[in-house]
Amino acid sequence: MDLSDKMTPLQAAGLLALLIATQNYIFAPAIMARFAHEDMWISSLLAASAAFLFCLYAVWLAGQFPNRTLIQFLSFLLGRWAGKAIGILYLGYFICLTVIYVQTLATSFKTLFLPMTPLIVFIVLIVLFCMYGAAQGIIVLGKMSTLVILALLVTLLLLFAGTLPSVEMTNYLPIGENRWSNTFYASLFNLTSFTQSIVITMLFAFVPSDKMKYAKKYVVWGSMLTFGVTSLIVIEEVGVFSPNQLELLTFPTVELITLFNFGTFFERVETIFVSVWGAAMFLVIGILFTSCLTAIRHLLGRSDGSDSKWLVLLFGAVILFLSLFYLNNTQKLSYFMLHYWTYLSLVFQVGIPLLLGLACLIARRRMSYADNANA
Amino acid sequence: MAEFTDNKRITDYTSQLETLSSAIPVHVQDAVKQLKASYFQHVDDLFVRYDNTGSAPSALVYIHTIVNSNILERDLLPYLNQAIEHEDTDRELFDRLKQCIPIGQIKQTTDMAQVAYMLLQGEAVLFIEGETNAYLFQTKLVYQRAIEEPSTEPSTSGAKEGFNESLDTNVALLRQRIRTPLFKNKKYTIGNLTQTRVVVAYIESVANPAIIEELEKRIGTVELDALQSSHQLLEFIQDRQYSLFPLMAKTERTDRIVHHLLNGGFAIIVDGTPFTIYGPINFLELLHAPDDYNFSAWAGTFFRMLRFTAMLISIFMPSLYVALSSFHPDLLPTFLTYSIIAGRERVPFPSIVEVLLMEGTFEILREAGIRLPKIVGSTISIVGALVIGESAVSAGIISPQMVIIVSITAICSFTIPNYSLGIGLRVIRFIFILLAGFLGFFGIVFGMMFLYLHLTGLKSVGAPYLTPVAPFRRKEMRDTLLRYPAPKLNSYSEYLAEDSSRLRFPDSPQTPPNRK
Repeated sequence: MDLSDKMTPLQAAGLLALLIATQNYIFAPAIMARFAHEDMWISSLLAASAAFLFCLYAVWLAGQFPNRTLIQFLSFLLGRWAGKAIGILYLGYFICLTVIYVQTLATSFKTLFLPMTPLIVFIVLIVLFCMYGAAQGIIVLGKMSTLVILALLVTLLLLFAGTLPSVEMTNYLPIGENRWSNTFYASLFNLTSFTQSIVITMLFAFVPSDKMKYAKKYVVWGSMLTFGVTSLIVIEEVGVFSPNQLELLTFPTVELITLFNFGTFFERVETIFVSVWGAAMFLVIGILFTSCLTAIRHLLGRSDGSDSKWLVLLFGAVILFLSLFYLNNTQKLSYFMLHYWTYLSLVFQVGIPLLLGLACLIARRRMSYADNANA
Repeated sequence: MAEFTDNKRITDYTSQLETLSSAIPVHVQDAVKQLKASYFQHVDDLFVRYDNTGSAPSALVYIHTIVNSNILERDLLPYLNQAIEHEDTDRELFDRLKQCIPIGQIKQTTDMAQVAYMLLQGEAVLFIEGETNAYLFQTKLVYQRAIEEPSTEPSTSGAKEGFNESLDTNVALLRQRIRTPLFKNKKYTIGNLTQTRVVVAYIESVANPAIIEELEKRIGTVELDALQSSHQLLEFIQDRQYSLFPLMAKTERTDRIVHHLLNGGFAIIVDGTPFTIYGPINFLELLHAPDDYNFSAWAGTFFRMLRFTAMLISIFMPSLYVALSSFHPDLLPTFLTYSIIAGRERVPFPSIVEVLLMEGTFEILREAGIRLPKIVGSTISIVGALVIGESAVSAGIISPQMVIIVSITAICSFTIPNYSLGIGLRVIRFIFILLAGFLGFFGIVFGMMFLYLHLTGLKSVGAPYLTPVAPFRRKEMRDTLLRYPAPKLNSYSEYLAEDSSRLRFPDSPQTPPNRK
């Protein structure tokens, strides 16, 4: 017996906010500074605004097919085979996203704090967590999300407030000197993280239909808050480091944390901040891992019930294997993220969803014509 | 008599006994002989008192170790002769017995198996020549401890009464405090050999019927040879068998059970143990103490926060020390780092070994202290504190900081009101020490998230274990880590109560005259 077997709107919003709040300040600021220079803050604001509009769109799209995940409504919208084919592509995208997050967490801790520890140790523990999370189910991850996102946003705001005195306003000047195409281009690197809000199409199916109205509202406002807070960090980094210095940093946010002082007692608190971020990352990876399993289940035509132990084990082994041999150090990871992933992810996060929306509208119109003809 | 065989369970044997049921022979001698042969061979405390002086020969049979000799001598034996008249019909005889014998409960049966069962319950059985009925008299001897203050859960300003080992007394204690016909108590008998009585208590229309139904279903499926303690039953009916955390709690305190029942929970009273099970529970509830409601809301909140902080310290302090001293010394202020380094200068072990050594020793001392007689127990604490602590530091085996850390951890762990939770957290502390020793803060973060995931996934009879934190329930936060004033606590829990929208009292309680 389970008295809480549905996801609440707050939990859905929490899960999505976590996904958005953990990545855009890791590698992106360095390359954004390279293209946008002093106008990087404009790029960041542009990305946040576009992300907000896209979030509205993703929520609309997910709301068109209540109680269906992306994989399920692909078949419904595009027919069985085309739907399955795009579904498989999306599964590949989710797997790729999971591996990227696993590597980001593992390589960050290895590079920053535990250089002598083999990478496999981190990856095994992360995959273990994911497997246990998948066994517990997405609802349990949803329940966890509210507290973790709160902790992460408070930590980010604390970091922002604590390092605000280090901001040099001259680092934002002159305004508009940079070419606008470069400013727009730089915003794409931030947008890539934000448009992961498309994952909401995998989560809304777990929200009860009667709560959908609230869920949409919570997700939109929650995402907007997250876009705002994380953009503040990115914008602050230019002010603190200057664009020239920023583009040379591998982990600009960690460097920002080193400037944070808590009285005279704690001198270097980056471990604490990175630990809070790490906790959030664990949960994000768990969400993606479970979403992959949901996608597999729906591709196999199993619409209900939990994942079998063997499927969880097998998929865990696949993620472990991929993570061991794919992008297994910080340089490779950041290069891939900034040079390939940005474009590839926009296809899955923006391109295909826009086409799906179009297909949805056409299907609707056809259905209404058919209804009129019948009448 | 039925024989045991190697591949049979005791249930097979007891069910075989039940099939032996047969009619009661008309001759007293035959009835006694059959009873002994079928059920009570080699049972030397079975007494038979033949009486041939009255109008009809009779035999009174009882197990003398479990009958109350006062009742027997005072209320039964003097009246038996005058009650038995040979000419009476069955009906007349039964009525006469009820009239003449001043014992509350007198029953009759024609089934020998029933006779055997009732003898084991402490009843005396009367066979009368020419009768196919046996008459049963309630002569049960009840051994019971006085009602005392629970030694394991003391309270400074709360009630001083606790449960004892008698089920009837324990139900009576609850009845005295909840005087409504809505207070329900359903009886079960578990254990083929022990025939242990179990009572499920709840308040109808307050408790969630889905939870009660689920609980009854679970208790109904428990089938075992012997039920000896409430914890044994708890392991059979709780949601997960391998969790370190208690998914239903036990208490000796009546006020705690009454509070829980009034909130919509249930209680399971097991005969022979003062520890009553209650549920569904949530994790934060295990940090509540009865005294929280006996002081002001501010004090209650402060003590709860204090206990929660102490719990966190007891779990994380040793592992944080290991992580900081081994992997992240840069996090600490420089002068503190120097102090730690100076303290560890002579210590030959890495900090993880040092912590495991000290924590392990402390756990052994604690276990030894519990097992030893009370008089010797204090000696152990002196040996532990002075000899091991002082000597280990002077011998350079451990650092002075380590002694401080282990002491603080130990003191903090004593603040946890629920003993079962305390035990679980002790195990978890060691897991965190190992994680921190090998992976520093990453290990601690991994452990924390794993623990959080585990706790969030746990359920207590279907109700989420970490509520109202995960899932978040704003209204229910009023009585978790926080303790709002009583007039603000007028709503029921979403999961526990049948109707959580119902209020305990009107939204705006009557204002006291002096506040008008």
